Amino acid sequence: MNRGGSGFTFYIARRILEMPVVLLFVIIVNFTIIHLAPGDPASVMIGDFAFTGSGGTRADAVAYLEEVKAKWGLTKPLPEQLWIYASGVARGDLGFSLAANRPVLDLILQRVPATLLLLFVAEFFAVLLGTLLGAYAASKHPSRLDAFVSGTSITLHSVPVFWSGLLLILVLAVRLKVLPTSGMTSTGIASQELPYALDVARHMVLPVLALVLFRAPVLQRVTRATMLEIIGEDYVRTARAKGLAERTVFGRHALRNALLPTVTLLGLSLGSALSGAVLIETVFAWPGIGRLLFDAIGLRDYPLLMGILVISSVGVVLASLLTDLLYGKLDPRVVYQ
Amino acid sequence: MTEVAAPAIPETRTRPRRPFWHEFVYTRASLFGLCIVGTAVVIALITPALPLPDPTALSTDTYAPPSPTHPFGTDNLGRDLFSSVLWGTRLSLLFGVVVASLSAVLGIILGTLPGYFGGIIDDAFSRFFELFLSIPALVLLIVVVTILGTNLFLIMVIVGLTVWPSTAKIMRAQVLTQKQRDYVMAARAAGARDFWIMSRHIVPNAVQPVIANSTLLIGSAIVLEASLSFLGLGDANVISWGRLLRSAQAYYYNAWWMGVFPGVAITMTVLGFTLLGDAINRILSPRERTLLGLRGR
Repeated sequence: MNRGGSGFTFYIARRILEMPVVLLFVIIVNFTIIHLAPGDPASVMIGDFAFTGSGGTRADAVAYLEEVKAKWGLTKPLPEQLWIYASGVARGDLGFSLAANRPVLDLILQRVPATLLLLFVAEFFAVLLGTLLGAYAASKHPSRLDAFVSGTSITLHSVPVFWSGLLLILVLAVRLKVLPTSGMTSTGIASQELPYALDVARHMVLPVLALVLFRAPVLQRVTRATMLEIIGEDYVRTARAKGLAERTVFGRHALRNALLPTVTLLGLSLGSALSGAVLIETVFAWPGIGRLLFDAIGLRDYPLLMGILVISSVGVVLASLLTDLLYGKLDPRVVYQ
Repeated sequence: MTEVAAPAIPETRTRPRRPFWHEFVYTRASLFGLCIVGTAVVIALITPALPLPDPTALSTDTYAPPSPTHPFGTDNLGRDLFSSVLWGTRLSLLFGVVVASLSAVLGIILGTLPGYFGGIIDDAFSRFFELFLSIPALVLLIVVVTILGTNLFLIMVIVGLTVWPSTAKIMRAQVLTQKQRDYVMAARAAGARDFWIMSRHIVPNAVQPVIANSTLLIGSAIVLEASLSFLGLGDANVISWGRLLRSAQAYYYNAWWMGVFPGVAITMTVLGFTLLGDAINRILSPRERTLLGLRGR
């Protein structure tokens, strides 16, 4: 991008410099939670598992508690503790999950691909469906068709995402038995490329469908509202006056501009998309970060919970940076400051 | 238009102001929303007086499909689901209203201050909003509730603390336009102090969109409560639609009705508040684009 080159570089540099600030903020939030929690911060950082499920003796647990206290400097003054914790996270040390007997970062990174796969596929279809239906509803405005599409959209928007997942399971998996209820792969599937991919795809249908039903309505509404606004603009009238086909006016002139708010919304609502994925992964036992989070709730695995909070926040910020860049590509009028 | 009795005061408005309820009757969607919310409120109020079976009473009549005696069927322990769903209305509405009110109070204060004072305060607040929004709300809620405990009051406070930025953003934008108005200048010229100007002049004039947003937030809060309960993070002492759905997961093959009716209740209630909020928005600020994309008529 050569236009406004220095402004662009500056903007990107600023956004990247913001990353550590976000990270520090999440760390402070985590740190506050640890210290607000009832009981000893050290036992919070270990999680209940040390005392209930590790199988070791009580003496082992107490010894481990001392070890954790020493490592994170929990006997030192608060600012120093915060510094030790923050520098630990900066080095990629998110703590150790006793329940899984592995470092937290390893556990999370192992689950990232499954969540990304689910989210990307679902967002792709949600954007496709949402913008097309939004544009369609706007093109039929005002009519019964428009009212129907928009009414359906606002109703779907009120459906909690986990319930649509549950209904899909009840209807398509339990009753009609056409798709698997949960998981990412069938047991005993050959790890050959094609059968494996097909098996994963089959398992993905329902969770993706549930997420699309959750996300598409939001995008549909924004696209429709923007389209209705754009149709009234001069350049659309000019295009019509030139005698261009309605299809060209809509597709080339209006829809292209209506995509901009969609991209903005996409960037702003990534946290919401992630929340949806957490719930959907829980319903469908999809082995991603959401399911990991759900399992961590059951085990009271606090270090893992806080690690997921850090990593998911970083993920959301990175993704919103990417949408910002995409926005600049789509809209040449954008000036980065 | 039949309302010819509109006062003939020369106004900037192009059309005479119609009664508040007119909008509700005018658009069917708004009326529908009003009906749903009204029904939910009535159910929440009269449930204790209804001759319903105790929603926690176990019976031998397990997995009974919907029938005249059990309109929504019974669960794995023979509890009447119709009664459970009706009782669940109380928690959902209470939760939604408390969270939305908390968010409105926080949002009005934390949106007015940066909007009014501008400068460094505004910059700092804006950065803080951004930071806050970069944390996925549900994940934060899950972590906090898991660690701090599943007490109903505590959960309401925590959810309220996570949803206020949307209110604050709206309030700030409103204040930015209001503080340029002549009446603020007049108040200042008359020697009014900042606090007086904000609380007596700006907030009352800027607060309208917050009312609509708070109505929408009631719906969002109800979904958040249901989500947390669904994940096992609800208060175990109250009946929650989310927890009813959570237990339905283990009985897909025995009792489909366990997974259907509580979800219908959540969807309808949230839809009601969405339509109502949208209608309020359209009435209070006719120029704004609303959720449904309708404009004030």
